[in-house]
Amino acid sequence: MKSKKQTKKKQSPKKTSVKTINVKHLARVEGEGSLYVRMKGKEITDLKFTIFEPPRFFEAFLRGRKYFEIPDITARICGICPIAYQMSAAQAIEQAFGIQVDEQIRELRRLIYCGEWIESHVLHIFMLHAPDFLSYEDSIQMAKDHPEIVQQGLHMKKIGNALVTVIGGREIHPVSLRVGGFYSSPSKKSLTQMLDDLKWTRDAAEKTVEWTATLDYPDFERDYEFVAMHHPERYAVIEGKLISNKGLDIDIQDFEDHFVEVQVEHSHALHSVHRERGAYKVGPLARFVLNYDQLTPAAKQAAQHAGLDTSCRNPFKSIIARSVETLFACEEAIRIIEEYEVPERPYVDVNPVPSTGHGCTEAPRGLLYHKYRIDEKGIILNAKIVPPTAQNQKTIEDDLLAYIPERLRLPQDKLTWQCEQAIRNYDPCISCATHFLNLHIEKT
Amino acid sequence: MKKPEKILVIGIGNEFRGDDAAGLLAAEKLREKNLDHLVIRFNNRDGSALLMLWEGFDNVILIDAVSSDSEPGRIHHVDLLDSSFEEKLTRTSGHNFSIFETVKLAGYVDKVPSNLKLYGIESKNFTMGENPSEAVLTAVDRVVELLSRYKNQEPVI
Repeated sequence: MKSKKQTKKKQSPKKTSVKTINVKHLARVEGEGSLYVRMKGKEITDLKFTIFEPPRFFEAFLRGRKYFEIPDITARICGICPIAYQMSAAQAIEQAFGIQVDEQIRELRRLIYCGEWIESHVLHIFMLHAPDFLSYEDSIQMAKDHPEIVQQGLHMKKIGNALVTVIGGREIHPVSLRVGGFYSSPSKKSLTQMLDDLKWTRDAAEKTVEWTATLDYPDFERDYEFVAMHHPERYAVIEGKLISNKGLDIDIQDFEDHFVEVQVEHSHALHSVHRERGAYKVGPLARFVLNYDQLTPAAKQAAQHAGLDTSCRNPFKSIIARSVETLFACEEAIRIIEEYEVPERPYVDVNPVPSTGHGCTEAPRGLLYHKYRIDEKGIILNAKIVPPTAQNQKTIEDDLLAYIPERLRLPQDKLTWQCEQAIRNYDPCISCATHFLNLHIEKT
Repeated sequence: MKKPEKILVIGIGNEFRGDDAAGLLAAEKLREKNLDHLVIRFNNRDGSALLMLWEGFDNVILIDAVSSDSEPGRIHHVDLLDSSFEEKLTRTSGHNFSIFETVKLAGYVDKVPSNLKLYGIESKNFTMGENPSEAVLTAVDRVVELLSRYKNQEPVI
């Protein structure tokens, strides 16, 4: 052990190195952000995960709009997960009006959500995150050496998109979802025609779980507070209460009693934190840890074979959790289609009442909370939207604060690469949060 | 006599970013003409989606806004399978993958159509919320006219 005297000598101001990591535009993320890290010796003196994509003011321009416009407007927040926005919005408004939709509509909602999970998860696994693990600049370079893997990913994504299209009318910003249900419901035939493709995708997802288990993972764990929706019988996607591994157990409408959004100078996205315990983590790994019991037997078995269990605290292994969830989404979609009967009426009547409603669903990247205050004519008086990336932002910064100091011996380019990879663990959707990434690491 | 194969036309762009709407506008005008020899599709997301859109078609034409130092409205006709095209096109894209990268990816995963052409409309203003310029709108009409004219002929490409 070094004496205090020796340590002091080595840390003299003249000899302490200053190092910066500066990624001005993060690649393979949705939207525009950057990372700046400044280090003095082993101490990080500044770290900013900055979202500089301009704010889009959705919450402001929803005010004054009719309640029935909200799902279609909020869908425009994201081209990857529009269903999540539509569904959280519709359910918040339904809660405000005291509307209950029937089981058939809920199942159809769950089915289209499965399509979104498949297309979004597969995009991130194969096109955005896998190149990190295999040391490729991007999926195009990866495709040169591993065409069969990329082909598989592209085909799986296509099927996820097709499922969204057959129910939603189109794959981006679907048009069939509304407050109270759907404008129209798909025929039994149009869904059963998808079964062969979904069964192929289920098998491909099983192989994907096996494949992700063979990747090399950095030895890194943190004691997270995982937060996710929870339903006693089903793996929560569109309904449930909010729970965490640190004792949180609340109804959706109590979200703001426990979580608060704070503004940080360096980001156009608010940071959502737990009022007492600070940063928390949402997304596939949080859902897997908290809701493992509700997974299908095949998804559980695939996770077990991959060595993923509920004790996992390694954020890099989110790619395995995402693959397990893809398998789950395929199985769930198959189940729903096999049991599907065309609803007599695809929506329930909606009558505005002055009230405030809260809606929560599990977007591919994690919890998505909406709240609307509405008047007697159904006009939106106030809106609040808390997307998953806003909730994970602080945790991403905390991950980097813990990850970088132990890896300062790495060459600058490798350290920068790993920092970007650590951010991509969260599949951050900056466009959604701006309400992603250039990296600047500065060592002094 | 064998019926000529249909040509797939894909309009690419962002309808909310000024001249970037050019490809979508041209494709929409072609769709409205309901021409027998063309199948019209649209792509307003990243380039990788193109691989899915053109699956099963041998003859594919893309229409997109391009940016070089030419006059706005100039029409660039590019054979995307000509390896020298890389020098003719900018790699910039408002999406994750540019057309350049998409064709490269398609080559690696064996999903390249036999014929793949680009009608690139020179554009200048990509400002969010603005309308396309007159020069670009005129070029859109010209591209529509060019692609409509090939009715009853062998594939244009």
